Amino acid sequence: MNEFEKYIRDNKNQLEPDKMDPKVWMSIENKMLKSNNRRKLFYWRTIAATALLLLGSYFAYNTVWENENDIEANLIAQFDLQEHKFTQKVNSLNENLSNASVPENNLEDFEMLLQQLKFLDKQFEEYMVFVDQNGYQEFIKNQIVNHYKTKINLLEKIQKEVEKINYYENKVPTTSKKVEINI
Amino acid sequence: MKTKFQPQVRKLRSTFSVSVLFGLLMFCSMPSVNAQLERIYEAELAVTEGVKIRSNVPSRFNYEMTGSMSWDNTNTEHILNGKNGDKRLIVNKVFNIDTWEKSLIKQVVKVAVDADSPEIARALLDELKIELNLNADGSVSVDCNMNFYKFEMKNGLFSSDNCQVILDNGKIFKVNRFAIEAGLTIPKFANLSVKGYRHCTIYLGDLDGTLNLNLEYTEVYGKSLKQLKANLSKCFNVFFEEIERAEISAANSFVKIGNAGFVEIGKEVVGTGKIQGTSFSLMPAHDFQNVFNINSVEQVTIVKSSNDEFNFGTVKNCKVNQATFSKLGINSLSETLIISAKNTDINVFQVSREFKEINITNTLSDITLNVEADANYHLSIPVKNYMEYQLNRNFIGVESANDTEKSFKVGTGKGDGLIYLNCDKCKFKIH
Repeated sequence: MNEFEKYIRDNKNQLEPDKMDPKVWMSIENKMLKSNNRRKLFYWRTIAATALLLLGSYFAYNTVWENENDIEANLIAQFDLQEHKFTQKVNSLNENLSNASVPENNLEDFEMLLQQLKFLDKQFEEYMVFVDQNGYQEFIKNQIVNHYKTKINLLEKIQKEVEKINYYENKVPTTSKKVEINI
Repeated sequence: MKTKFQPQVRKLRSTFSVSVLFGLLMFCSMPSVNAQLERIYEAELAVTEGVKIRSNVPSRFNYEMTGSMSWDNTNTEHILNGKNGDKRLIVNKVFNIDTWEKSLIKQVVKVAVDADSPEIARALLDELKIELNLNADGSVSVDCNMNFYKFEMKNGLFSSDNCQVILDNGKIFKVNRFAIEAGLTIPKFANLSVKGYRHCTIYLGDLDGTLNLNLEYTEVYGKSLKQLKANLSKCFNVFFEEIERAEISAANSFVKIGNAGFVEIGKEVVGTGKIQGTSFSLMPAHDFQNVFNINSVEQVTIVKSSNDEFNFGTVKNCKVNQATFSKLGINSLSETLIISAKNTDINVFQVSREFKEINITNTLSDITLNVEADANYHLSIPVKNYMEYQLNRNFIGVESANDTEKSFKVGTGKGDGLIYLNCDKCKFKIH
C-alpha cells in the first residue's frame, strides 16, 4: 500500500460528501421521470396522430366518394330522370366491357374512344358545378339526358366494335396478342 | 224582387270588405319600389370594308351574395332572385346580331333600373357607358356588358334584400332591380368574331364577311353566310340556312346546315376547356362525338374525325382523309367519294348513274352502295382482303382476275364510273 492509498483510507470519512439532501434527490428523480414521461408521451402522441390521420383519410375518401355518388343520384332525382335508368344502363355496359379485350394493334384506336368517355365525365362535372351554382334548370335537364344518351351510345359503340373485331378474329385470326381495353 | 237580390248584395259587401283589408295588408307588406327608369344606350361607329369585329356574348356578371337567393339561369335569361323571390338582376342572354347594308356598327344596350329614388336610378344610368372603339389593328371590340363590374346582394333573417351595382370606376349604387339586354347591328361586309360560353343563344343575320365562332355551351341560329370558321365544344344546337364555305371543328356538338358550297370538317383541334378554374386538355381527335346534318353540299372534306355521325343529303364530291369509328350516310351522291378510314360504316342510299369514282380504303366496317339502275361501271376488289359481300346487280362477270385484284364490269353499256373497294374485314353490299 503506498502512501496515497494510506492517506485515502485514513481520511475516508472526511473525503466522503455530506449526506445528500432528500429534496435534491427528489428533484433529480422528478426530472428523470418527467424526461421519461415526455418521451413516452411523444411516442403515444405520434402513434395517436398517425392513427387519426389514417382514420381521417379513410373516412374522407369514403365521404367524398359517397358524396359524388350522392350528388349524381340527387341530380337524377331532382330532374326526375329515374325512369330512364341511366346509371343502371351505364353500370351494366361498364360491367360488360370490364373484361373486354382486343388485339394489341387495335388498342390505340380504342384509347381514343376511352378519352372521349373521360371528356363526357368532365362534362358531367361541369353540370354538377352549374347546378350547384344555379339550381335545377330545365334546360340543363335536357342536356343531362343528352349527356347520358351520348355516353350510353359511346359504350354501346365500344361493345359493338369489340364484338365486330372478335367476329373477324374468329374468321381470320391475327397473330397480335389480345389485351384488355381497361374500362 | 228586392228580397231575391238581398243575399247576393250582402255577400258582395262582405267580399268587398275582405278584399279591401287584404289589399291594405298587401300594400303595407309590399317592398317599396320608388323609381323605375329605363334607358336605351346606342353607339355607332363608321367602318370600312374588311373590318374585323370582336364581340363577347351577354354573360353573367361578377357577383357577391350573402343570404338567401336563387338563380333562374336558362339559355335565354339569367335571373337572380332575392329572399322572397323578387327578381333583382336580369341579364338577357339572347344576343341578336343583325346585319345591314350601311357601313356602320351599331350597338344597342337596354338597361332598366329600380331604385329607392329617381335620383339614384338616374345617377346610375348616367354613369353607364357604351363604347365602340377602333383598335390599333383596325378591329372593333364590342363589350356587351358595358362598364358594369359587379352586382352585390345581401339579406338576412330580419333584413330584406340589399342590392348594389358596382361600376368599373368603383362607384356604387343601391338598387332594387337591374336588368340589361344587348343587341348589335353590323355591316353585311364585316368579318365577325364571337367568343361565347356559359349557355347563351346567338341569332345571326346574313353575313358576307367571315364569321369566326369560338363557342362552348352556346346555341347558334344563323341565316346565310359567305364564310364560316367555327370551333365548337358542347354546342347542341347550331343551325345555318346557307353557307358558301365552312370550316368546322367540333366536339360533342350538333350542327345542321341547309345548303353548303364547300365544307371542311375537323381541320383544327377542339376539346380544351376549364373546369373549376383548372384547365384540361382532352383531344381525342380533331373532331369527335358530333352529329353533322347537311341538306346539300357541293364538296365536303372530313380531315380528321372520330366517332362522328355525318348525315348528308345531296353531295357532289365527298372526301374523307381520316376517320375512325365514324358513320357516314349520304342520301344522294353525284360524282366522287374518296375515303380513307377505319371502323367507319358507310351507307350511300343513291349513287348517280353518272358518278365518276368511289374509292374506299377502310377496315372493320359495313358498306352499302345503292347505284342507280342502268348504271355502267367497273368494280375492283383487292383479293388479299377478307370481305363478305353481296353483289345484287346484274354483274356481267369477272372482267379480269389476278393475284392482287378482281375486276367486274357492271352493265352492258359504256360507263367510266369506277368503284374501288379496299376494305379488310368488311361487309359490303352493292345494289
